[in-house]
Amino acid sequence: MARALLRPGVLGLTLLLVVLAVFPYLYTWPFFSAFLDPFRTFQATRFGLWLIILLGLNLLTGYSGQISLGHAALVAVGAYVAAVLMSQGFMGHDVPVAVAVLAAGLFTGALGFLLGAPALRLSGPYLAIATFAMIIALPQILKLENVSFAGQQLHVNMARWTGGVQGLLLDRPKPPESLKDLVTERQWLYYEVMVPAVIMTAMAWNLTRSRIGRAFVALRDAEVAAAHMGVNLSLYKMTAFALSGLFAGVGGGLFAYNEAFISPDSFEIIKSITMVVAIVLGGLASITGTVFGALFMAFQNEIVDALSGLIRRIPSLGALEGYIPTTASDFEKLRGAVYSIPLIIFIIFAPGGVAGLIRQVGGAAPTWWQGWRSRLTGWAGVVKLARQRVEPDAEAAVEERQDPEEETRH
Amino acid sequence: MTVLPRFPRALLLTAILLVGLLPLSCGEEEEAGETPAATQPAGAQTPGAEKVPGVTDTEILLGTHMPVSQTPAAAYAPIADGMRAYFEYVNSQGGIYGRKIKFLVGDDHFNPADAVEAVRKLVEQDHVFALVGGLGDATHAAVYKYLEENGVPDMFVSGGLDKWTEPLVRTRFQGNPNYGTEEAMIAKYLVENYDGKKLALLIENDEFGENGKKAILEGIEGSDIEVVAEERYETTQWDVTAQAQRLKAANPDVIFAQAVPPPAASLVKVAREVLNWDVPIVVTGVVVTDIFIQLAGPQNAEGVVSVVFGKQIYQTDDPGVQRVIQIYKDFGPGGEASNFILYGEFIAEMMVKALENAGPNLTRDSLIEGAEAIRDWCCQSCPMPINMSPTDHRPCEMEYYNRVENGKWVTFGEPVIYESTPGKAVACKGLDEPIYASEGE
Repeated sequence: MARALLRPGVLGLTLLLVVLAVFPYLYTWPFFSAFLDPFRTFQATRFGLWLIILLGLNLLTGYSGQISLGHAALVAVGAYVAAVLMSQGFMGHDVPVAVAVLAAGLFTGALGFLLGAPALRLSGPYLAIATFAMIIALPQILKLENVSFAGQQLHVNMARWTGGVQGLLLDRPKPPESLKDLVTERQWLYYEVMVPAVIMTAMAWNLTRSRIGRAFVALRDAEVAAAHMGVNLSLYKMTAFALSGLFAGVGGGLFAYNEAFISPDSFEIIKSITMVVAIVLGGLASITGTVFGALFMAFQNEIVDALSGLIRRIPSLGALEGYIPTTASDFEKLRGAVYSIPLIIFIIFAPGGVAGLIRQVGGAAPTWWQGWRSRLTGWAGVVKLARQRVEPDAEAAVEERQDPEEETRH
Repeated sequence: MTVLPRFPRALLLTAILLVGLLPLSCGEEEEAGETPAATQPAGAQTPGAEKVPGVTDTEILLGTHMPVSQTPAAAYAPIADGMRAYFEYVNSQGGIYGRKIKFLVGDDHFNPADAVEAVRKLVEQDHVFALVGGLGDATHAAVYKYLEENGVPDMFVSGGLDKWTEPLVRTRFQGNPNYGTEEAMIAKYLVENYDGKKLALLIENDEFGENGKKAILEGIEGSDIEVVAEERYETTQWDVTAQAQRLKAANPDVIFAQAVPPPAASLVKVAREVLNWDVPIVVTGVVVTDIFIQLAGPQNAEGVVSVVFGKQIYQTDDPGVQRVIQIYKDFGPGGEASNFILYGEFIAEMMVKALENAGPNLTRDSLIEGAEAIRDWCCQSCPMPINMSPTDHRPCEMEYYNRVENGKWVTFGEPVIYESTPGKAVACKGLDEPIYASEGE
């Protein structure tokens, strides 16, 4: 038992959970107060939200290979369902936050299941377009008020529930009376988000290692083969959409609760696309990758700030004054451009995202490194070649073992 | 279970990376990092004087949120340049009671969720003294309650939604005139010039559009103007060709656009160039910018009517406007001064005036009192004196009609004044030169 606790994985997980558990209080401690402040707690809360939302997207896009540009629409639906329940109650009854968020998850999950239907006939770029249409349509639907169609006044009034163009302003969440002295509002929110985030990460982790997860991967890699193996294609595709909807709904619901404000413009096209970028940067079909994707979403603006700040500090730039942008205000406007370059470089050198990098460094040796090593040390290369002649499967077997996330294929 | 032994190694690495990244990501903030801890624990307060966030003996830290990058709305970014230039100018004159202004701009990409992040960072990490000129209706709507509850002065919001100052909140001031009052003026213009005619509307599909539409419809009530068509566009959409075509199909006599400059320009350009349609177009006040004329083309924009609450950057023979341009030339990042610069300098100038009124003992309370004490004040670009009071947090309560003539916005007619705080001055001669009624015309 003691030995089991000392295993690096268990240790790492424990360390991670402990850090997560005490994080909102860290900034009051002597050493950490030097670089932490309450704003970090807010960012960590955002990280938790993004983690839940991106897990859903990675299940759908990374694991089952169904590309979606409309994930933000599902998040918005979840946010609105929770916000409407929290602000207006249900049939005259007040709805507790947990119930509202859960209901948001289930509703969005069901919606996702239905949206999965068109995906049965669409794939790749075509599916991307279909899901893109979703994110374009949703903000307008949320703003609907007195629609006239073919000269007829229709009595569809979404705005009655959604607040229309103004969005919904909720009461700011407060910690319960009994805990008032222990936690501040911000710390309370952190736990309200982080606990579900950890639970849902564990859920996703288990799921991807279950029958369903394996079916998703089979679906992604070879539909025909999967069908032969007895995977019900339509059912699993729709399940993938439903699950991604469930995660998006819970994430959206928590988002609405956390911000106490939701408007049709909060989750728009750019956000939707950025989510796809985030999971690719983090690593597709990887829970670890999703964690990094969520970090990217939470710290993106800060990364951009830091990058433009760094470039500004390069002393030799002063000589180029007048030829290239060098003032603070120029860099502010160029932030998008400044950050696109590292983005491109990163994706060229680490197509597997951060998770891919970790897998390479954390595993015995990455495949590209193996390839180069054998070329560099000719002797080893010759031996390897010889071995390959003898056992053609050896190399493949080695590769498979170093790819824990891909293991689900078997 | 077979997977476990290898996966955890990645997990351990992740954990180490995560913990390692924490101090790293915060390294950038070293300078700001010293204050945060100080404001939280009670023991860190200097005895005697109460600690005011963002204020030291030598510095006042101000912040704003605004779209600066990654969105077409970043066209508003020059406003921040204008503000910064004016603050730099004030700093070069020795600052305010020996304190220099440091101005931080939070980039919100015109997205409410990003605005929350940007503003929280300004308040909780940078510890700004006040927010000034927070821009955007949807984005500011996401943060105004937060600022209110945390007692952060929310000075001169760059927008005209009713909810900024109705109900009146002590810590919040509005920068623009109300959209409602602007539209009431436009409605009056429409009734005077197009009674009995057919009106078509182009409305932005958000609260800004909704507010404006409501005010127009209320304003033309009782007249014989008939609304024959209404088209909408989304905030992210800047090309309204399809809407313009449908509007033409309804064959109106005049169009009113409650739009931001680019779609309004698109409407004008499409109507004139594509549809060969010379229908009179009336636009809301926010359109009164140079980019509207540039985007629409000066030929096409000719004759477009709107309302405006300040001087225009082309009034280059006006000493106040000359001063705006000179300050931007000396302290701005370069380039031509535009109406956005003028507006940015206006907001900054008003903030500086409030800070001056607040006196050497600067607190958030004294700032608000300082702003409320602004009376009979003529700013460099003010055609009329500005008056505020504890019950009036709207500086701009007068407007002119104006229209595009020879590629420039030119005012016409008498100003419409709806000042709710009566002042003694009746007009402005120049900077800090109010004209009092007794002096005569």
